[in-house]
Amino acid sequence: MNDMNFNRIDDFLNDELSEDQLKDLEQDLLDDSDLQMELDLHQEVEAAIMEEDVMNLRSKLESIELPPSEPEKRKRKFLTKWNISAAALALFIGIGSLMYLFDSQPNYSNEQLYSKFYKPYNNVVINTRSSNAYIDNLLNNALKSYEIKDYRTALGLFQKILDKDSTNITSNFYSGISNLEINEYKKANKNFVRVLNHKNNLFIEQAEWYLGFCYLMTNERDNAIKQFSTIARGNSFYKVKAREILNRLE
Amino acid sequence: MDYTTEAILEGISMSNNDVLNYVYKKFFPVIRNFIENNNGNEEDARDLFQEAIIVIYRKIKKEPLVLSCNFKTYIYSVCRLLWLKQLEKRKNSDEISSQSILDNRLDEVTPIYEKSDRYRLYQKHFKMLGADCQKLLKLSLDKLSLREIAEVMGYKGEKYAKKRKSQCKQYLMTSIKKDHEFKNVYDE
Repeated sequence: MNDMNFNRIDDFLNDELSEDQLKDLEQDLLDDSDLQMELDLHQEVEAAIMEEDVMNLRSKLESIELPPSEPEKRKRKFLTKWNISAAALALFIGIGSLMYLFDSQPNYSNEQLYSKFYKPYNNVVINTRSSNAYIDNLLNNALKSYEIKDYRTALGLFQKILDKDSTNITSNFYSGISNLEINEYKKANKNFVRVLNHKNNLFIEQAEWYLGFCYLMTNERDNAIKQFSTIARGNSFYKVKAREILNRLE
Repeated sequence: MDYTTEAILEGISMSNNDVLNYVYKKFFPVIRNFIENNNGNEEDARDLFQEAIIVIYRKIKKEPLVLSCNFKTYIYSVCRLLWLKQLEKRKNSDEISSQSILDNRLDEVTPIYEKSDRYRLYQKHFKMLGADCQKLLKLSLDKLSLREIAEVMGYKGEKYAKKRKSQCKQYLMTSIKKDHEFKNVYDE
């Protein structure tokens, strides 16, 4: 889909075409089934976006805690059959050491949380084209390497772009993920901070989320809590997951 | 406390938290067993159960739903049908996918599910946009003029609002099309 057709469809859906442009589009739609399909897709996506009730219902359903599975239930039943006084005694004896354990050791280690919640960003989209064909070409190749999980090659190519323009948002964001993938957490942190400092781009929520993982893996637990709290309080796509992490962190 | 079938349907139509929690507590374990016994895992069961409730919600929204069976039988049938469709997509279970669906009550569920499945994908990518992009696209779909959008969003002018809107929409459309699920759901 070229930019011209994209804009025509958009203008059509917003009633912004002149009469002549409308006639042209109608004719093209008859001749070009791909264009018709694209228009259908745009209309469907717009209808989906307007379904606020379904999106709210889905969010509610996502946050419902699942009932435990059978083996877990059996385990719980078994625990309830314990002799209460024996359990109380055991609890009393063990309480000191338990308190010590809880105080000195969190329930989940940073690494455990990382491996449970971290997934590399697999949505590779080139959203903007620069005026520089060389950069566009580099970016394409870098993203291809990223897509096949060849993160080191991708990083080399992103770096070439960043050498010319250190504020290139796409390169910074995907470099961040690539750095996470090769355990270069401090470098990843820098990448995501650059994305966040830029403010006006489409990777803000993603960068906030992944920055939290950088903090986890550099043992900056307080910063991680702060980072995931900000996400959990906001309206981010990641807020439910951020809450789950916080429950295990705090 | 137990709910009648009618009360459950009404609760789903109103997205009532108590009813939704009850439905998960009461019926999810059966569905999880079914999925786990048929080439799936807990995550599959969770996704599927969620989709089944959304399909039922859409169905109620379209027209009043009167069931001739209890809710447990109905949601089990819906989940079973949706899971068969999933397995057909995955093409890893000839045995199950060749079973025919003989339940007339579920005839209308298939088109609703297919639409719901496409919308799920679109909405997932919409939710992944930054908050400002989401707001901007919604304002545009609410038919606000570019001038009004610029005002609400605090942009310097209409031209920038148009450019930003186009960027957001282009990003959304591209990310939907790049999703590995897109071909599957769109070709249905």
